[in-house]
Amino acid sequence: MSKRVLVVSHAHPDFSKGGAEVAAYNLFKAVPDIKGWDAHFLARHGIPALQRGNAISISHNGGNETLFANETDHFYFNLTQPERTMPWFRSFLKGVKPDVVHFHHYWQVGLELLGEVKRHSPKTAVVVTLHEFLAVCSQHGQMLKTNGQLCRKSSDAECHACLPGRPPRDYFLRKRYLQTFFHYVDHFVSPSEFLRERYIEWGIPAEKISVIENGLPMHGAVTDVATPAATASEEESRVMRFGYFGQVNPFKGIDLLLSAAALLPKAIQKKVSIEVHGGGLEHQPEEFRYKVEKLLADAPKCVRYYGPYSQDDLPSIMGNVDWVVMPSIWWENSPVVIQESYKFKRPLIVGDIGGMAEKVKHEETGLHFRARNAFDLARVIQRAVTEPGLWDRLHAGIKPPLSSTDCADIHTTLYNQILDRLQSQAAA
Amino acid sequence: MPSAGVAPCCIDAAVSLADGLWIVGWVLAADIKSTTVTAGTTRGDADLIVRYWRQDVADHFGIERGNRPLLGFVVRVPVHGLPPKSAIELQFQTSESPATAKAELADPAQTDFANGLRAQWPLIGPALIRAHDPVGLMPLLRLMATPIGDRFGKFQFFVEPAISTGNEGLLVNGWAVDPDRELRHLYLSCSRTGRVLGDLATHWARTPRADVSERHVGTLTVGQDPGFIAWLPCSGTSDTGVTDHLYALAVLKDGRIARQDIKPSPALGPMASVQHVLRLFTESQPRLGDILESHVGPAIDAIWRHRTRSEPRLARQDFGSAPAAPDISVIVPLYGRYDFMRHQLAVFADDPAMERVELIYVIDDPNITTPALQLAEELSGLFRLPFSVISYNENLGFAGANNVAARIARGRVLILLNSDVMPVKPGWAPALAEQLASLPEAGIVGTTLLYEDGSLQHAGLQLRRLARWAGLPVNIHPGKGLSYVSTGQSRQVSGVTAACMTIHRKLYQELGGLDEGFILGDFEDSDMCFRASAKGHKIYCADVPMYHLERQSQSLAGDSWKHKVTLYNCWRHSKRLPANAVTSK
Repeated sequence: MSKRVLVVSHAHPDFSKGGAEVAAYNLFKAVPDIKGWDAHFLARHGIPALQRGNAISISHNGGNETLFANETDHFYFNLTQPERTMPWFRSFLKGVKPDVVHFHHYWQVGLELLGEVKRHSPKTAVVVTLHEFLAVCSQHGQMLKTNGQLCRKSSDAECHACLPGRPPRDYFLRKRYLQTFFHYVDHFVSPSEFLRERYIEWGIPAEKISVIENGLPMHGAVTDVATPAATASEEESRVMRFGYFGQVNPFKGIDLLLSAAALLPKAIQKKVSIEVHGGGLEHQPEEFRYKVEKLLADAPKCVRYYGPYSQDDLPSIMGNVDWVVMPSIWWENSPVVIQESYKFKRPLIVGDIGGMAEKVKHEETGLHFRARNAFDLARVIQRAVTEPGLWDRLHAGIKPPLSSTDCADIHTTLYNQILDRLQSQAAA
Repeated sequence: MPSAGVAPCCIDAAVSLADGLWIVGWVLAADIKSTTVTAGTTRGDADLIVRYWRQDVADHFGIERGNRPLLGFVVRVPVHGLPPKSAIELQFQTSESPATAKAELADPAQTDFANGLRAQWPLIGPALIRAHDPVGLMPLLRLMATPIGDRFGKFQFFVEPAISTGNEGLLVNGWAVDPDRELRHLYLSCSRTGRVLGDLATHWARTPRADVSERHVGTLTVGQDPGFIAWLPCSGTSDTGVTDHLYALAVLKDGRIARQDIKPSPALGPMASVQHVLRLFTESQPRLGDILESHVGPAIDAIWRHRTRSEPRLARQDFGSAPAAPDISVIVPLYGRYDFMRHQLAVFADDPAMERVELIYVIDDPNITTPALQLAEELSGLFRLPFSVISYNENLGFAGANNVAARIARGRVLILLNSDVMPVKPGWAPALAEQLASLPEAGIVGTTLLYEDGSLQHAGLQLRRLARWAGLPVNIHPGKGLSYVSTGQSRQVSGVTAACMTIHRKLYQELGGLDEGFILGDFEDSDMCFRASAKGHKIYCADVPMYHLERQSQSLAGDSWKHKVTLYNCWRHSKRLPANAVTSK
């Protein structure tokens, strides 16, 4: 009989395309490729129209996918309606009978569910993939201070200074509270070493947390798309294309890129095309929207704002740029854009901090610039345009990203190790 | 005209008052041996006689002032119940010839009688109050009193409604302006019973009254505090109506008498009475020690001891099935905030040792009973750690809440715990119980408490006299705020906080639990430690660290009544300390 993992996600990629839910779903889809394993997917939703009567959950996509309606608070990640959710989750576990419950995120899922699995059965393995610094930082888990500065470490006093709405004591209580629930987790997975270290500093024992990169479905990979850059770069007169991919929000640094474009020497501006692929500006705070709109209006001709794109179009869009630029002003964790760049063998230009700096090897698979510094970004773009052989060298250094199947393989190996340990603990 | 062979004698006025017949007149006799009054079949001998100079009579008989006798007389005869207009006959036996006079009793309600007497009062009054304790003359003094007001001269006073302190006395405040030091007595009396409850002027502590000082600027000498506060110990002050019929009677040195009918006191419950009393002084005022010791302290003590207390009707809800024969019972009172329960239970549920511990929450605040029970229900489902919740429809205070739970606790060892105390590590409860069992003669074991940032909050209590609080001993936490260095050692101390206090249940019961006489909750932990020490038990502070998210302390200088509750508790605690409790370190 095959073993079963229940993958729990805070959202379903049918409704939102965040990195965490996409990673969770990719894992769910890939696990059945591993012999001896099958998978269920449980995704939380907050969409009233999906409700059926007073049922908490509904079946989705006809197969092993379930959606459940749920909310948590944003500080303690407690269920807002535990009296409804908990009995439902117990009976759900009884029905699915998972050997492993693998949570992606606890935000919007509910910290209580972590503990409930062990009460359902101590032999069930609990695995949690940490997608952001949510436990460490209550400012959206970004470790980016409200004054715009990067945050390096949480402390009761500093968190209070950053978010003065709560006394320092609340940050103490929050940490204690989250940690008591984390005791029910057998193992944590972090997609980056950088995020793993932040959680270890915060209090998760180092041996309880491993780095496993998110897997990427490999259909439409580099072999399928044309690589015009590789051939065309030989022509000196050709324009070099730099692409920005992702949401247009204050954390992704679109404003930094636009400023850098304006700082490029005129001669360089004529040799580049800076393309913005991404939407969502209309949902951003007015101040930021105004700033970006003004930067776009004043931008040199080399800047082109394409707006949102569909994931299906990514091979043709990303395959047609030479460089992918990630100017994020926060640490990042393991951005899917980096893996996608690797999939299409596109060298990257990224800030020299956090998950970006970890995933993009400077001078090997891309270039670093001094994060949050438009002058340095302009300098690096100029170098990318002018240095002969650079692109080819970096392009050659890129290896394919971890495939979903390989990722599932690593995960199931981890599951087996945990299950063996639980088995021997139960026996002892 | 007096008849021959008898001394000339005349009654000017006679009236029946609460304490007997009062007769005023004159007699040409130097020394009166006895005085008898006959009214129909009733007879009585005078119990008071005062003579005074009557210039009018002397003029009439051509008597020189130097040649005594004092012609006028005031006598009181303890004959009661005679109606106005009754005929009376007065007989004097003197060393010379007897004298008699007849008269008809006047109606005391008739103003002409009082006015007639009052005309003579400047002569009678000083003589009377010189010779007799005015307390015995109240009915007459009251009749002769002038309502206090502008026409009374420079002397002014006002007495606020009195607070009945249990059944043991009255607490009175007000002000008195007396630039010429005319006041002799300021009596507080009940017009319904005639009782004199006391002389405020011999009891009071003077207090600043800025408002009065401003109104009497120029009259008052700088530094004279016009306010007063006075606790008059006396029985029966809870009797119905006593505080509704009070009047104040000021007796001046020249015999003048001023009266003020005191407004009835509002009916106040014990807590409101305490609050009222606490508002009558400020922490920074002069004579704080005297005010606490002789007035506010005993008054509040009496109010609190006499508060009517019914056995609280306990409701108990058990969540999960409690351990069968627990060795340890942990008692956590909840007051105001109950959300800490979530955090405590999360941490307890993560501690395997807690499965063998009886955990009792006590809701000591009816305002939070419903939401706290709802949260308990939710947390029980979440954490599956068995616990009980006791609730009742009143606020018993910290001591009362612990005592209620201690009565139903089954553990051999009790751990009193605040809801904002969180263990640093699992296994804390058996560790504390083990210390209690193994330390020599241990009666009570407290523990190291840390702020959430890891600095020290408590490692035992020490008494230190606080100059600002009239030198009363307060509990300080030596080392508070310093970095904590684990020693793993328990130390003997004089007291520990009840934020986390481990004690044998038997000893707790022998001591009668925490003392509920401290208002709201303060000092009862220290008090219990000293009581245990007095019985030969030792107090220790263990090094089983716990976080204590101690509330932000109220600012140390403050006149909020809660701040003064602490001051009162501090005073009460000091009265109960053994003589050697405060070291001079």
